[in-house]
Amino acid sequence: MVTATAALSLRRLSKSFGGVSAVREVSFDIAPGEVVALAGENGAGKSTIKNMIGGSLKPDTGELLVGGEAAEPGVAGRMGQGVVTIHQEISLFPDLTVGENVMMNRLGLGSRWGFSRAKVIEAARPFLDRVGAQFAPDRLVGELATGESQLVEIAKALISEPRVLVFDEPTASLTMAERERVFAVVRSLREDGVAVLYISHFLNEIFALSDRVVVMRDGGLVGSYPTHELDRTGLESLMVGRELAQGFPATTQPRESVALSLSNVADPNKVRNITFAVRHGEIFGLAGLMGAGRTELARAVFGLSARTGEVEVEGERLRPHDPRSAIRAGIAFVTEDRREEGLFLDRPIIESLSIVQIDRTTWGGPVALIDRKAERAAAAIQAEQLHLDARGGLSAPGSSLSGGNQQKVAFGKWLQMGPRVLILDEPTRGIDVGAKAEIYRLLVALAADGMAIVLISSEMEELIGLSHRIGVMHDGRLQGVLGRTSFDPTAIIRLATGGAA
Amino acid sequence: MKTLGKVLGRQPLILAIVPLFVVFSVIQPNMATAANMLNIGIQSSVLVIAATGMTFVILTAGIDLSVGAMLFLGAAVMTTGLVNGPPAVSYLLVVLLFALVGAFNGVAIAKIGIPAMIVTLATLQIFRGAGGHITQQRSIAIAPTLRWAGTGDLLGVPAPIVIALLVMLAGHLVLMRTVFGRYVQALGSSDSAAQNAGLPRTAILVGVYALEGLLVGVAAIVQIGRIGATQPTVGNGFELTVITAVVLGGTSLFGGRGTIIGSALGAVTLGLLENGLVLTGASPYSFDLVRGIVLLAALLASEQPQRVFARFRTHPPQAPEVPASPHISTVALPHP
Repeated sequence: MVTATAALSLRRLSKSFGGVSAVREVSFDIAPGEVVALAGENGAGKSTIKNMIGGSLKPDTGELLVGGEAAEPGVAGRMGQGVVTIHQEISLFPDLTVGENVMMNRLGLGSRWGFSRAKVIEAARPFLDRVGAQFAPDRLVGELATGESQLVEIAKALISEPRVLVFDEPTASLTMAERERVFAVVRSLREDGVAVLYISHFLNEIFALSDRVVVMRDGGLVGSYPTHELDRTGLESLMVGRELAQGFPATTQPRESVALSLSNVADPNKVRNITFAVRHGEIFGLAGLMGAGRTELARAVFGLSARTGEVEVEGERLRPHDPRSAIRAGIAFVTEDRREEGLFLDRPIIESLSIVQIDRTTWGGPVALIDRKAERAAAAIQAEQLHLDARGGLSAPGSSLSGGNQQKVAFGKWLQMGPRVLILDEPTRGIDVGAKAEIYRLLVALAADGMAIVLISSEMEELIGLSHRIGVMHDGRLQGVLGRTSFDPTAIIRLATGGAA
Repeated sequence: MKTLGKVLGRQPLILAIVPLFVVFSVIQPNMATAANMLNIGIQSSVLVIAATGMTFVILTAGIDLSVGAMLFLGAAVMTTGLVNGPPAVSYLLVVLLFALVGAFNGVAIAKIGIPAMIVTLATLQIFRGAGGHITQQRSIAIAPTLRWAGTGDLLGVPAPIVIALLVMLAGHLVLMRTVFGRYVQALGSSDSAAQNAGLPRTAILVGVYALEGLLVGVAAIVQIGRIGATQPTVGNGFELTVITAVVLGGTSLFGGRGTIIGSALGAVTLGLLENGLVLTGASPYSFDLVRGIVLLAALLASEQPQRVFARFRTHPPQAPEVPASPHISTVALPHP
């Protein structure tokens, strides 16, 4: 790579937080018209790199060059040089129109009379066309699907005529069709000579899109590789630094007795007449497209939302809309949004681990004193079992953990109560390959112990590799249930899109 | 040094109280007398008691604007003889009555789901109206037998100080050591995570507002005992002073983080300020001005002490290494 032509050059960038080194001496270039993927496990330093490129973090040492010139400080300075980041969390205003959101930094349009909504919307149109948006620019962003919002986010980035565009997990919550749309936009940007840095956990996307892969591990650069010289296993072992065990752990035979049974479960909005039963020791996969109602079903069963129909755990009927009743009956629910729902970010990790069981004292109920010694000891055991990497100790706040470790806490807080039914909603989304493998092993071990597991996942391989049966949802209904002998990706997709088995 | 650093790191407000006291003492030597220090304690006591309750409320990311009106209503109930009997019985009845009044706020907030600010904005006016109706906006003296909580003493220590210390200590223990206290902090930290963990949300919220009501009842008993008569202005603006004390003490308005000790220090800071301004002959109109400036300064400075004292602080204790015991775990996780 010739330095003079690089759109973006990182020169020995280092950054540490409170004495902990996050990024060490990382250097790489991105040429105009090149798509470089940034790969690495959680905690490898990808976010820090992203934030240093975007200007929201200042490197401790090292240099950043944009088109061969020193980078201007700050996010605004970078934007002025054409370096724009599209963040994972969508940062749009839901009560404003698509057009206003796209043109947010140019609302005046240079006119003397200031703001005209009609003109702004009109001006946004070419940018929306460029990302292939099928929706009208005068719609409110709050009414759009997640995938559509992501396109608005990209269109918004395009108005500053970027030379360097950083994508951070742009497809994490998108459907297949929406992903394809985003890929097409990335490819057309490459044609136009934009340098793209693409950060993703989905290795398929990295192989489909990128020209080169930059791999990071533990804050350092592992290397930079032409994509066509890598295969999936090779990339995974570069990320993890060791050979990964292939495939999924072997599951054991489910028992005869029924642990969880649903009959005619429906919720007021999305879920319609779902009936199925899960046996002890069985992993029941739940497949479906985005918006098929899987999350809504799980929330209704656990009692976080209202429902009709019956839910029973080992024959005991649950009260609707009452998570306490579900927990008492032995259901544990690991939600999709672990940061918000899985743990308490600004409280010590210990407290997130103990919260479910903290009132199980023999006397006193809520006025009972907490046995803090026992709490601490139990938390230490849980942390040990989960292989929790809590660098600041268990008294540090939950926010100090990496995403994968937060997921372990969201999961681990349930283990102490010995649940009979475990419902997991996308437990491996956004976590690295090493942590994924640990979660797979854990699920299989729990099932072997007799726990009934309902696994909601959008990763087909995961469902097929772990489940005893797979239920496929479409538009709020259970479209079909496949036994292990009839597992087949095309059959699942057909059911998920509303076809017959 | 380490212990001192740790204490100051947790309660940086001490860094404001000490120099403030020194400065006032230099200007006005009467400031540092034992009598005046007791005075500051007595003056701060009502605020300490109410701030203890408010800390629980704010920890759940809630707010209670009705405490000033509740204080007035409490004074009205005490002076108009609505509760009659021996002092101890009267005190108990008032306290229980106000636990119910607070619980009413809590039910409206938790069950109907109206934001705390709106509910207590409405009940502020209801309570003040009710108090005004009971007293007909007159100034009414309290029965001398009911003045103990404001003017009496226990083994030579003024009763307001004894009561405030007891309330503060009890509040601290409830918050830090009980399941209820843990629930309050968890709910304030993340409502949705609390629901996922099956916490009894309604009971927690009703409990918190009932506790706040109960403590305002106690505060009313002390306050009316001190001033000796109900006046239509009792408790005017008190809610804002209480919130100031709590925020000054480091409790986050977004919930989940804060301490009772911090709030008590916040209350004492405000008491010290007022006392010092009076003794140094400052205009009474300057009190609000100074309070406001102190609050802003404290919020601005709140990041700094943590950085300064971070180096004194010992490392967070590591969790003890305990061998896995089968009765706690349900599964042994396979090692990778």
